[in-house]
Amino acid sequence: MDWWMTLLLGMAVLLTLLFVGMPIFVAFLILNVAGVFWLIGPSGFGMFANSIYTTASTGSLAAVPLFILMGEVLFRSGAMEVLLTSLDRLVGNIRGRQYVLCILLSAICGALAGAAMAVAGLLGRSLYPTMQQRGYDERLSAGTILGGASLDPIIPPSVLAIIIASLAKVSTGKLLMAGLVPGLVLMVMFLIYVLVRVKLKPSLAPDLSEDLRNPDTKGSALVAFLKMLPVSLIFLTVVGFIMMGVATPTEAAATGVIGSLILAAAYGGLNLEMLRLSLFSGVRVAGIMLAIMACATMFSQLLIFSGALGQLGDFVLHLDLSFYLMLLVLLGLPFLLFMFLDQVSVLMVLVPLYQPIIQHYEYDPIWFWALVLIVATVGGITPPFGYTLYAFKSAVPTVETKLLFSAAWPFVWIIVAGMALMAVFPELITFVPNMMRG
Amino acid sequence: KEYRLLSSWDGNYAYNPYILDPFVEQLKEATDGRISISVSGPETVPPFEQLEPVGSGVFQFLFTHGAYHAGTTPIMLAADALHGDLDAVRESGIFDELDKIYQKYNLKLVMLPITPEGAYHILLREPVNDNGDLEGRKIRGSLSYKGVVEMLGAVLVVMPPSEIYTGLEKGVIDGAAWPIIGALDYKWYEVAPYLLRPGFGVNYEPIFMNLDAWNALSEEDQKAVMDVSAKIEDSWYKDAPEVWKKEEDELKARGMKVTEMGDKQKAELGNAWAAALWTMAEEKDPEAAKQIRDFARSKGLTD
Amino acid sequence: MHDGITLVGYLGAVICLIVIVFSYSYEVGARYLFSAPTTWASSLVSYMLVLMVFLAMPELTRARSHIFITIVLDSMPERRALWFQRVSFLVAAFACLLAAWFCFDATAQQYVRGISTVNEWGVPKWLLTWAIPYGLASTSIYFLRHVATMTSYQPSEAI
Ligand code: NA
Ligand code: NA
Repeated sequence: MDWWMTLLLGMAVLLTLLFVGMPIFVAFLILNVAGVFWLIGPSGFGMFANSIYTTASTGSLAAVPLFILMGEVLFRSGAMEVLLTSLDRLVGNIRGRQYVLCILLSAICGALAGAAMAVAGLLGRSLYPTMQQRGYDERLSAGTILGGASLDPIIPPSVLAIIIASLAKVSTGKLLMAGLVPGLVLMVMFLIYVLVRVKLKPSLAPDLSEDLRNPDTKGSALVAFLKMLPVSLIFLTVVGFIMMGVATPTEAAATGVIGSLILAAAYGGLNLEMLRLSLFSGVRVAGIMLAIMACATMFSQLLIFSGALGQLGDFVLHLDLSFYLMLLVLLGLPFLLFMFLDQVSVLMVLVPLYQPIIQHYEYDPIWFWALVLIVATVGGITPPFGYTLYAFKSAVPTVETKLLFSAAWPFVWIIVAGMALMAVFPELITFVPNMMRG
Repeated sequence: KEYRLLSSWDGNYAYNPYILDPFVEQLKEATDGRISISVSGPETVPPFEQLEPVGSGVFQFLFTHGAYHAGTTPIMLAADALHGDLDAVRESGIFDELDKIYQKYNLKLVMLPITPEGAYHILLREPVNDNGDLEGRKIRGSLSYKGVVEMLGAVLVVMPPSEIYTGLEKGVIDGAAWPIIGALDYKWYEVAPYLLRPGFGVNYEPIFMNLDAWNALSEEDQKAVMDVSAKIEDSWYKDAPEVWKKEEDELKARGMKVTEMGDKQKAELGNAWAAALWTMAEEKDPEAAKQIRDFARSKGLTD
Repeated sequence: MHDGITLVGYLGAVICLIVIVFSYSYEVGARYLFSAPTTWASSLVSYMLVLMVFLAMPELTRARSHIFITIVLDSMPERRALWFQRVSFLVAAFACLLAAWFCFDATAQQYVRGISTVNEWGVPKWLLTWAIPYGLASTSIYFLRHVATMTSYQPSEAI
């Protein structure tokens, strides 16, 4: 059978299984068992079992539950309330200040937590009701939270970055740090967008009197700033350890968990119930993601074994697309897939397919995979399917799905525009990781 | 016929031009294309999981090192503790003893390239300390290096070759143990500027064949495999020191410096290397380890 | 009974995560405060991760936390979607059982042949890999139980 038939058949089976609602890890399990049987025969089942073990015992993936745990502990520690009141004081008397507050808070949450879903849920529960009460526009409020939550997997720490780095076999620390500047750039773009929107259409934001009656907006700015320091310390420790090479990202994640426990104790938020909830959440989210990864690993081994991967590389090489056109194709394909499918399963398939191509085109691996990371992140809010969308929807069940979808699109396009910027100016991505050299 | 060979290393491995490439080429020639080999690397099957799929026949050949499957049988790992030149080793018949053990795993030992003494070394970010050792440092290596690394007061960290560069770059590890060539191709000299001397150990880097696939070969082809193997074993043993020297010169030209361990450590080096290999082998599989060690002793290949 | 074992496994997974946190924190401390890196931390973390993932798997299936794509199901009448999912789960049960069997076979081989891991701190491999067939087999039973009792196709809790 031709290599492309093998490839197409594999993809068709996988997509069918996914779209009929097969749990994702099972879809891969079926695909791989069938693939082993067909391409290798029964003697390959030992390889299949070993591939599950090898992936599930990949030490660097321990950062996935650890980063989730760290965020869960911090969100339940009482630190978020402190952050919110401090920010409320620091954001000045500008029209649309709750939008600004929301974006800044998301970025800070992004620096503390590893996944967008937690942040979307948190902001949906805490900030969204306040914004509605005070008369902020429903759609723009929802969009701001969705866009803001999308900063989270881009700004380190990031579970998605860990997963992509481990699949693409690039330095976990570098890919994590590569998201720092892009996260800030996108944050600024979001801020500009909401301020311009409010300027053009003042009815999107109520006047400030209601906001400013809130006692949180008064008091010393210095005190407010100082109050934010302990939380920032956690971020600086984790990121600093990674940057300076004091610890591997996984080790840094573990120390981050300890740090957030200490902080929770200091804020009086540490108790058995919050520990139980945080641990369960860490095990559950990581268990779901790593189960998919463990059951899917054999897929790329089969692609290599059958020769399909090598052939695809040759084929793409002969297409002779230009540097940027190829980049557009490589990023556009997952953009479309992420509209309907979840990130981990798409990445499990695409990363091995992309390896030979990015080698041939001599894309800087950190730059390229950071762009993929951003596409994967935006996939969380591209309708109709996305975890960030669902997390927000389950936090605010009253919001209409249609409104949620239309709220997301402007922020999707801003991120896409941001990516175009980063594609043309790669330094935005590579600057920080390059500082780590030596 | 097309055969599949599984290699523990990627295409950049420094030994390939001297062992793997000639094996593939010469075998094809010697059998008039009846044995044509396609090579798969660690991206198809991770290095530490490669013995099983070759034994079960998914692949027909395996190019590896004993440390990578020491969890299954430690025998080829312990072989690195043997001394004696190629002729002495061949003469001793230990090849057949090793082969017998691997047949239990449905593998046929077809080639056993060995080197003279000094096949391994350690690359360091910083020179040795005042005591001439590496107290408290983390050194990447496979289990082979346990004895030497611990004798030098350091801790062994097992990580796959693909992670060595970043590990050294960021100081997650302070050094990396590896065969004495390879730092050039993997560019480790950029991030670890010191060569620890002296080098140590001999290096056994076997090629196995799936036993059923071997038995299915005609006698003529079996002989061709063995002849090609013997030729490569000869040339590798003869050329290795020169190859090593060339790489060391090139590394120095690129700015690497030699750092020597202390005299006390030098005196312990050989024993630390060999004793730890035998200890590990005896812990893992006492019976097979004793069998090989007794045999090697009787032939004067080990203490 | 089945749910009881699953709960114990899930608590085991939580303990694995706790062990991961403390062994790496200890490692960082030992390395930089006392210049005495451990020989066991990174091995232990790898081992705990395998156990965590597969000890948690049955509970995640019981709670129907595992992700699936609902777009096509959403577009169907509720009853038809439910039947669709019943069939999927039946197939899933079979696939997991088959995979559990292969993995059990591999674990048994590791036990019989005395295969150990090649990390710096080596342990018998079956001590870790038994969790894989356990997780898959128990998951398979939960899929069957869902087929029998399911009343709605929606996941019971959002992740
Ligand atoms: Na983040
Ligand atoms: Na989407």
